[in-house]
Amino acid sequence: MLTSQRYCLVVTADEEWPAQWLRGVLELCVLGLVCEQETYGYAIANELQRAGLGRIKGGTLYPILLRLEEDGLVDSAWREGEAGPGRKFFHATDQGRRELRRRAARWSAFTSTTDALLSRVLKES
Amino acid sequence: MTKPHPGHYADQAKAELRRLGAGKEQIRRIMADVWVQAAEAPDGDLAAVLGPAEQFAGDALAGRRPVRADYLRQLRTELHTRGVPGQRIGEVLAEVDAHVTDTREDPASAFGPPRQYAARIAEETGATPEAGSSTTRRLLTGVPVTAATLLAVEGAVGLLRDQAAPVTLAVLLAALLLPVLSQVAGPLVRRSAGLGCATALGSLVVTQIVQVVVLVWLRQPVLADLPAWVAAVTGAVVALALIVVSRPTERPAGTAPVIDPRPDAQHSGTAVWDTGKDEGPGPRGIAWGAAALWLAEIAWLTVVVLLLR
Repeated sequence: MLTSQRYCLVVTADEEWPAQWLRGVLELCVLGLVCEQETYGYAIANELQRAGLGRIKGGTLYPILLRLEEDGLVDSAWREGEAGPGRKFFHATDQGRRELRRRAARWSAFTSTTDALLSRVLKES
Repeated sequence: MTKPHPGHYADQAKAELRRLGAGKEQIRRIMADVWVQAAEAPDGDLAAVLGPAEQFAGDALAGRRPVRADYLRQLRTELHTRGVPGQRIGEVLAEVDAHVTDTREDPASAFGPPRQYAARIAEETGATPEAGSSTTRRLLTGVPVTAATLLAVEGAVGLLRDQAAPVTLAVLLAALLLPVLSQVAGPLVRRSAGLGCATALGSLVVTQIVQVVVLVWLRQPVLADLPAWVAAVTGAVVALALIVVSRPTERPAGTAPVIDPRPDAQHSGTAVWDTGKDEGPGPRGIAWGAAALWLAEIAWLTVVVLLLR
């Protein structure tokens, strides 16, 4: 199913997460994966899919990586490929790792807050 | 038996393309598709995926296989229009190319229409088209330059005929109104290539005709009479000073070359990047060029006026 929301193109096969939700958290997830290990676009998209977030298109992923780079959270370098054109590898900067910890903590607090609200509301209904 | 290598298939395909008379550009574009398939080919056996090299080459040349270069070219144009710097354009094009090579999708499915993706990129980089030139600034230089041009021609004619150089009302009005004309023409020139050329040419012709009419026929009323050499020197000094002052302070974003950043760029083969290091004229070159054009304009106007008066 193809969902499009403003500039966000997401095609999901098994899981269907609302594009609005993904827009809020994709950048954080991408930053997380880059902090985990040096990686490239196609591998990131595969990891996100493996993690259950659906198939993220290049048109969504690369602008996110661009913003992370502009904010100084990741660096990039082109490497020669084994067969065919080279690949752009991304790795996290120290600032990026700090930012990941900070944002992940805030995201955790955020989801706890919304969970608490929803549990209360559901209990009452 | 040795394992088939994509390189062998690529060499065969290239040889066949050359034999069929394909141009360098065409060969580069077609070989890009070969590399797309190379990732998918089991054991690197491209023949299993694409068929015999000779047949593939023939099909590709006849346009029976898709080429992704068109998407990249459109994307490049859209990015340029939105003021994205040349270096960033090179990066974006290489990213798209490398990504669709890995995913084996077509670029429009993966990245959306070129215009949409270019808008997204421009938004992220904060690029603004035509940054740094304002209407007021252009009019402020346009009016004195036009006045200086007309004055210099009057001075030149006066020197050659040993006469005084009159400053007429018509000259003053032309100096005020002609820059407005080029202001109006500006957006039209940027709209499209065809309309742009027509507008630029039309604007140039109109400007020259108006200047000739003003200098040859609209010679009354006279506001002041100047010695010819004063008019000539003042005109030249003012015009050249303004040309120097209004030159861009650095290379405009649009003239930076779009280079493929990948280390093995010769394999990319889609030929939408710039080759070589030619970066176009810098600020000095632009100033010299503008000065030369201005002198040419003075020369031609002087000749016409001498002939027609």
